[in-house]
Amino acid sequence: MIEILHFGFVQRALIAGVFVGVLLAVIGVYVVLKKMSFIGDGIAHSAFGGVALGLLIGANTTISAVIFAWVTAMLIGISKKNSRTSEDALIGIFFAFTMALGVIFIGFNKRYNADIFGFLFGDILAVSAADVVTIVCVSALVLFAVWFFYKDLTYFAFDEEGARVSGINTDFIYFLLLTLVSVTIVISIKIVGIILAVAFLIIPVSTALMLTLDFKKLIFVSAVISVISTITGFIFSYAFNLASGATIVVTATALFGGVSLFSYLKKGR
Amino acid sequence: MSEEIITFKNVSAGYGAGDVVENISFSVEKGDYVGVIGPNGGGKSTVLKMIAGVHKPRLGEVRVMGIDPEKFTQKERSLIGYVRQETFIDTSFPVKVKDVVLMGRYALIGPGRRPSDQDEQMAMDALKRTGMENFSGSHIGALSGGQKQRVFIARGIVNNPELLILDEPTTGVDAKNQHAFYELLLELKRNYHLTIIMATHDVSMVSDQVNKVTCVNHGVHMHGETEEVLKDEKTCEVCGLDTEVIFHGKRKTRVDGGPHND
Repeated sequence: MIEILHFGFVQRALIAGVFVGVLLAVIGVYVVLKKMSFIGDGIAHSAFGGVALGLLIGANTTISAVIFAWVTAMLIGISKKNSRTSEDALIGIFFAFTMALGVIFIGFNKRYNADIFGFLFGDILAVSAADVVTIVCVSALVLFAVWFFYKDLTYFAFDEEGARVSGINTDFIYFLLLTLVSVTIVISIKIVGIILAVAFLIIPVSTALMLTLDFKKLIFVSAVISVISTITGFIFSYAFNLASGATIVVTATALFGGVSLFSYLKKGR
Repeated sequence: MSEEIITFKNVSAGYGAGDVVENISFSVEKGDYVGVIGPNGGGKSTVLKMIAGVHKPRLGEVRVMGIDPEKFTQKERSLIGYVRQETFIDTSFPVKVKDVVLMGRYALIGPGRRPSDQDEQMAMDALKRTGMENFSGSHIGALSGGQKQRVFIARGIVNNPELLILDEPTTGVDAKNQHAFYELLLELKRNYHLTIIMATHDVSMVSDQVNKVTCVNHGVHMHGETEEVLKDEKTCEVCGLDTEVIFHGKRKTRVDGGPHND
């Protein structure tokens, strides 16, 4: 098994997988604790419209997906603050609209494009050197933003009104978090795909929440679970020729199930 | 001469198209302990949010310590402590008691910096003042309702504020702990010369502890000395109180369907 590490595509897959795993876990902590899972789902699906547009016009799909996802996230955020429509209804509207646009763009695309399957479900083995550079650079930027605004993000996630009264610019922090979620989801698409990105944002954090009630440890444990799921999932997908993104998510879910069972048995003792 | 710490002049405010409070005017002096009473939806929380600078008046003028709350500098803002209903905060959040109190320092510390030893010490001091220093390492969710509110009070006073705003702080706290909570507020007020303004439905507490009452039901119906406001029949009617408070000199008896003497 060790010899596969000599392959360039395997090295790229592992580097990308570890960075994306850590990033999804760190951002996932705020998404789960702020109860923003559905907005994460909406942003992930809106990236589909961006990918389809990128494929149609021959542009860089990562850039087009980031733009689509970010604009959608901002529209959801602005509408939430200024509209009487509930947040989940707004997410449902934008989610459906951007997916519909994606389907229309694919319809315009006269040539068959098998890539779309990779974007929907992820293909860790198809990660290029350029993808690795993008993933590492974006991860560094996102993790720096989280480190720099750590206190503000944490207070915002815990008690938004309390944070606002104390002088934290909660509107800025909300839109910053939406931006970080958009970027994180788009760069994770290569690994786990649009459909499964949100699952991977939520599952490692939910698993870690059963193991620790210390916020800093939660970030660390979520990241470790995320990386373990990514590497184990990758090995299984390679060994048994399974879809990589799906195998990684199934591995993460299996870990969640195992820890849930362990917690249940421990509580019953 | 007494110093006004809060001033409302002809203030109207609301959400969307309608006003929740209309044309309200009142003032609070330094050292006052004010109970804000009134029915749900009458505008108590809106008034407190305007004082805290997180809700804009549509019309009129709000001044806190002589300043428009929306124009507070960070230092001025730190002179206000704010405590709201514990039930509105998700206390299953993975955070320790000391870190909850430290959050009150976050805006002053600023982005990109970590709390210093002095910040940590201030958090511990605030916990000591509220009798919660032995719980500093506990998870916030492991505490009782009364203990959680003491922690939130500690967060509210961590910057040694001049004004403490409390929005129905005893909701979800059992009767025994409510009494201890009010005693703590009196002690803090005495020892640290705090001005306190608190929205509450607890007329018994209001009649016993505060020196001024503001009755809010879309407007300020009455604002003044506790006895004067609570004796006013129209206050009870306008503020939806089915309680009559009988004053016997300094002794008060609350009549709300059952005897309650103190």
